[in-house]
Amino acid sequence: MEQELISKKDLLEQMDISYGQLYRWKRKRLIPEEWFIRKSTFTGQETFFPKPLIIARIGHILQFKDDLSLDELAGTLSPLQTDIRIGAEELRMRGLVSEQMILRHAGLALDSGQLPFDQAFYLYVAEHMSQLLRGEITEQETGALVRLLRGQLPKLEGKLCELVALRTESGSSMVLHTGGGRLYADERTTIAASIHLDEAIEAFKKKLYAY
Amino acid sequence: MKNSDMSSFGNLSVKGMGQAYGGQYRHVVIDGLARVSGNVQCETFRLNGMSRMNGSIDTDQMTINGVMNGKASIIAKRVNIDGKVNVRGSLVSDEIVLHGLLNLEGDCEAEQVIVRGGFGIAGLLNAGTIEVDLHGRCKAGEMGGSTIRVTRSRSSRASRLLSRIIPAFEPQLQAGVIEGDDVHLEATRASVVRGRRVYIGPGCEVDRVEYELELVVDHAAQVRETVKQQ
Repeated sequence: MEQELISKKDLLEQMDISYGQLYRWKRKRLIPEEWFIRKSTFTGQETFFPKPLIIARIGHILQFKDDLSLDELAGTLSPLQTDIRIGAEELRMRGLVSEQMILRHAGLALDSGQLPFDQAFYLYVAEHMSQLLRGEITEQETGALVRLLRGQLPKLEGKLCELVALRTESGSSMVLHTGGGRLYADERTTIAASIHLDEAIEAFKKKLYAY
Repeated sequence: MKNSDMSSFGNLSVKGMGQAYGGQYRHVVIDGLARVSGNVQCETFRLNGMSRMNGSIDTDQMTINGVMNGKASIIAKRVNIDGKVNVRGSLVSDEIVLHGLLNLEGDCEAEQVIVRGGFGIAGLLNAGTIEVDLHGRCKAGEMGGSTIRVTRSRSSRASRLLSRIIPAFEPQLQAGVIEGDDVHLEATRASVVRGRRVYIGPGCEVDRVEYELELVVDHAAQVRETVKQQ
């Protein structure tokens, strides 16, 4: 699916900002490198941005820049870019999250067809896990997994984190595991699947922002 | 760890010729010739002579008098270079003062960059203020910032003679795209210059200028196309 792009010139005009500000925010890592899309046009090299993302981000920066220093602001823009909203339709079209998953587990996070970035990521992880388990995961277990991610991940930000699915005869359960060490299970339990969340977030961004 | 909290660490000092290992130090001083392997984190890094750095450098103050060849990126709050620095990575800083030559295979980022000499930056030179006094070849993939000022000062008799014999010594800046709020250029060859206020001075050759408020083109400059933005 084509994501709508905006040229740097149009962006500066629309948001009423200067080149100096844009380059400054780039230096402060407020605008991710992967949003700068270079394309050759008939007027020479031009830079484009994914329109909904960059406009949300710059709106966020402009709103807070008077109260926070740019470094503090960079801290508020976590890898789980909560200021960004993603259309549920887009998640579905890009094959990141199935319609069922959104209908059943997005819950209150879904607001006029859009999800905040972090919530969309949790659903993506749940979807990914259910694929790894080849669908051998019940509705309740998926729901518990989404609640686990929602409850724990924001607190664990910045730590290397692994999501592990354990299976026993009576069913599966999900464990979040930090520190990167191995897990050892007893004989009745098997480690059915695991996802490294830092890799998952990179994969998610890559698929989401791909053109 | 912050570089300013490194008072509990020892110093690394090389006098004459030597080899050293990377690690955490308070002050690193190299007088002479040294090869340093591994990454270095320190409060201050000072080189008088020549060194080859096989790892990255992370410091508050970096002072280079001489020649340094680096294989990895450098993060330094303040950088003073008198001499020549070649780095295969990027340079991230607050303030860079360069008297001499700087070659980077990556990007260069700082709030302020002051150059008297030449540079070759393969990626983006991104700084709040870029001031370049051209004394030799300068080349950057892209340049962006708030204020960009490139001047060619009156050259000395020796450098005039040299530039006549070897044309490569003719002071000139080459860049693909230059974007800034206030852009003042002399002796610059660029494909696209975009800015709010733009001055294209003598010796410039620019394919396309896009400006918003003001454009002045010197009669000794060549501009193929100008576009005023609303």
